[in-house]
This record gives sequence, C-alpha cells and structure tokens, in this order.
Amino acid sequence: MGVLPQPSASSESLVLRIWPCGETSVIASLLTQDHGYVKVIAKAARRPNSRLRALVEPGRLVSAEFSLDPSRELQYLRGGSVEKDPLGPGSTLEDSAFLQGALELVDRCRPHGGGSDDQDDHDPTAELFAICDAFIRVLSSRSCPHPDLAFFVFEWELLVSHGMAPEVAGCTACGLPPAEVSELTMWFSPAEGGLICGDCSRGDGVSSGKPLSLDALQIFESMAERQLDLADDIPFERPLRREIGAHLHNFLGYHLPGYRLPAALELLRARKDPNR
Amino acid sequence: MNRPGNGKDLNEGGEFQSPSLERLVRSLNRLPGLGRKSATRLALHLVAGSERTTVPAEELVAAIGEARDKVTNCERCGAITEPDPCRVCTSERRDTSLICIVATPIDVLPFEKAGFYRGRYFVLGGLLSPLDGVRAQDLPFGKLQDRIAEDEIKEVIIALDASVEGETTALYIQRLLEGRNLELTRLATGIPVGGALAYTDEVTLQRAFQFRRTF
Repeated sequence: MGVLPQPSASSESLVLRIWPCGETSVIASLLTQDHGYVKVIAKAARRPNSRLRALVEPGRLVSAEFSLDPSRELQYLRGGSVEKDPLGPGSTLEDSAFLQGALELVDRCRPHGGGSDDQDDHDPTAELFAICDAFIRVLSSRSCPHPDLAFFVFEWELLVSHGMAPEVAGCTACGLPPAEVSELTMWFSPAEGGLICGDCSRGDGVSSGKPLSLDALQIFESMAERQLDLADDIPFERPLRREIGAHLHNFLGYHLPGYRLPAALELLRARKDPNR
Repeated sequence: MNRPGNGKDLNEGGEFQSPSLERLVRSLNRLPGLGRKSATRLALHLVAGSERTTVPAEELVAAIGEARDKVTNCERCGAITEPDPCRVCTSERRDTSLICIVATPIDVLPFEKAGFYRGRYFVLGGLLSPLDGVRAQDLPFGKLQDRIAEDEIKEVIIALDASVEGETTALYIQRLLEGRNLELTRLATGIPVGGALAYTDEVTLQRAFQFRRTF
C-alpha cells in the first residue's frame, strides 16, 4: 500500500520566540517569507546532537523545512539551515537588545492578512519579513556603527508596512515644505501624522506633538527616501538618538495597536556602579 | 470514554480501579522527565513491588522530607548545599581570585564532577530573557558586583548557555564589569569531544572555525 506524501513547505524564516516543550522538544514561532506566521514543533531539538537545535534560536534567519497541514495549528519542523546568526562573535549588548526588541515588535504588532493564501498582490507578512531580513542582515554584518539607528529604520519600516508612514515632506496641515519652516517651530505629532509647522501647531490639534530638531528631521527624511546608508559612520550623538527614539516610540504607540516599548531595550540601562 | 488523565478517572481510580494509586501516578507524572508510563512503573514498584526489591515508602518519604528541610542555596554563591555557606565557598584550597558565573545550581555539578576547576562560583539563578519577562532587576547582578569587589577577583569566567539568553546575559555582565581591573573570559564554543563534523550544525562549525587555534 502506498503512503501519501505529507504536505510540506520550505521557506526563509525568522525565529521570533521559542518555548520548551516536554523534556527535549521546542515550540518555535516563525515569521516566514511565504507562509506568514507559522508555529512549529522541533522534536528533540534540545538533545545535544539534534540537527534542529541551531534552527530554533530566536533572531536567527533560517531556511526552514516544515510540514504544512492546514488542519494543524502546530507544524513539524523537519530540517533546514541557518542563514544568518545576528548574535555571533563580536556582537554587543546593543545588538542583542535591539534584536530582541525587534522580535518583540514583530511578534506583537502583527499585520492583518498575509500568507500564501492571500489573493491580493500585497502580502503584508512578506513585506514584514523583508524588513526583518534587512535588519538582521545589517546586525549580522557588524558593519553598522550605530545599531540603534538600524533599529530606528526598522521601526520606521514597520510603520510603513502598516500603512502608517510618518509624513515629513511637508507640514501635514498646510503642506509647507520643511525648508520654509523655522527650525524653532517644527513639531512632530503622531496625532497629525508627522511634521507640523509652528503656525499650524497653534491650537489643540498637536497636543501630543513634540519639538523636532533639524538633525532629527534630516534623519527622518533619509529614512522616508530610503537613502540612509547604515554602514556610514554619521554623527549620531546621544541627544539625537534619544529624540528620534522618543518620536518613533510616541508615533508607534499612537498608531500601532498592541505596541509598547520593547522590554529588551531596558537592557541598555546597564550601568557600572562606581560604588561597588 | 474513560481515558486515563481525563479528570473523571480520579474519583473512579482510572485504569487501576484505585484512586490513591491514580493520585500517586499523577503526582509522579508531574516530575520532570517522567511520562505517565514511567510514573506508573515507579508507582507500582513503590506500592506493589516485593519487599526485597522495593524501597520502603516510609524511607523515601523521610528522605524527601529531610532533603527539603536541610538543602538550601548557599548565601554566598547560590549553589545547592547543606552547610551554608557551601564547602566550595569556605574551602581554603580553592582559588579565591577566580569566579565562575553559571545560570543555575545544576550548572555547578558538571564542573565539580570533572574536578579540574579550583575557583569559586556565582549562580545567577536564571538568564536574562526580556521576551519571557526576565529582566535585569530579577537577577542578582548587584550581589555579583559586591562579591567581585569583596573577594578581589582577578578572573571572571562566564559559563552560560550558548543561547540568545546566555549571550545576552554574558554581554550584560561584560557591560557591568567594564573598566574593572580583572580578566573576563567565556567558555569556548565549538565541536564537542567525540562529535562528528558531518553532524555539526552550521553555527557551531562557523564558531569552531572562527576560534580555531594554532596546532
């Protein structure tokens, strides 16, 4: 008697989270390029000689082979190979914190729709995978002098993928281009959807907005035009980092349901205590 | 249908026609590494084995109770011990300038079994895992810094899992100890002794290659 072949799939995937299952197995949540979010069980992956062990580490980009049975919530991970390991030798605490922060955001702020069954040409999960893929490759290459900037680009692209790209080409209310707005009166407002000039900011409409510096605007413009070369060692001092981080955090919090500041970013508060 | 473990069988005694035996099996089944079959085998061995082969239940209960009462975590290093502080922390034959950071008390055991390490330990009690809600304030990093300062440690050996959590925790410790006058080292990663190259995953192989040494 013949045996029917089990339906299976192979796809580039990002490991988002893992949970131990039983004594030796692991359940992993994957964001796949072709099949959206997939949960797999890697049987015996915690055994020392398991070939699946390396495939179920959060943050790794893997080429995963798994069963694809629509009637099952949990698919079987059958094999694959590791494509990128962002936390290899030479990685820093910043790499680790931003990587895990990104994984947390991708896991929590899931786009609607997606997967191979979608008839629509636009596949939001495939787009999200492409954003994650680019971010992981930047982190893995160790060529980025500012992993925080890479993370901000990731957050920006996350907003774009949700259709919530901030408007920085002109004032969102009157359309005045940034060159004609005084630097002292530029605001960035999540409620208004981006840049807003001083004249338009008078009133209650931008109560949730914050002042925007020219340096931050330039970074945002580069992000919007996708012209930011993350390998460049651009001046990116702490006040500017804090400003951009705060603007994006407020914007994400306003527009993405389920968003909250990733817990992993708290790791960056590690400080040497001189009294110890 | 009255399957074992469906909740209904506890009152009826399940497959054993004995509620007390069923309760014992369920209790054993909750222990790590024991499936229902193994739990059943142990339970039957305890209850229905011959006197010659069975560990007396009273003896087992007394041993568990005594261990629970007496075993504790060393106040200095966090390892499992009966005398507190533990023998490793109080031994004068140990190198006090060396400290090995491990994640759990179980991680101390292979070092002590192997017997080559002559320094002391510090058990973190877990690994940083923001995704699972384990944050820096949940682990005793302050105590670790105090211990390093008090004992005039010269080398800190980080012996944590080669996982994202282990890597993150190691990087966090590195950041905390930056600028101190001590050597900070980590266990090597690579091909295990007796391991076959053909069955080694890409990441392990890559790390083994990166950290190859002159022969």
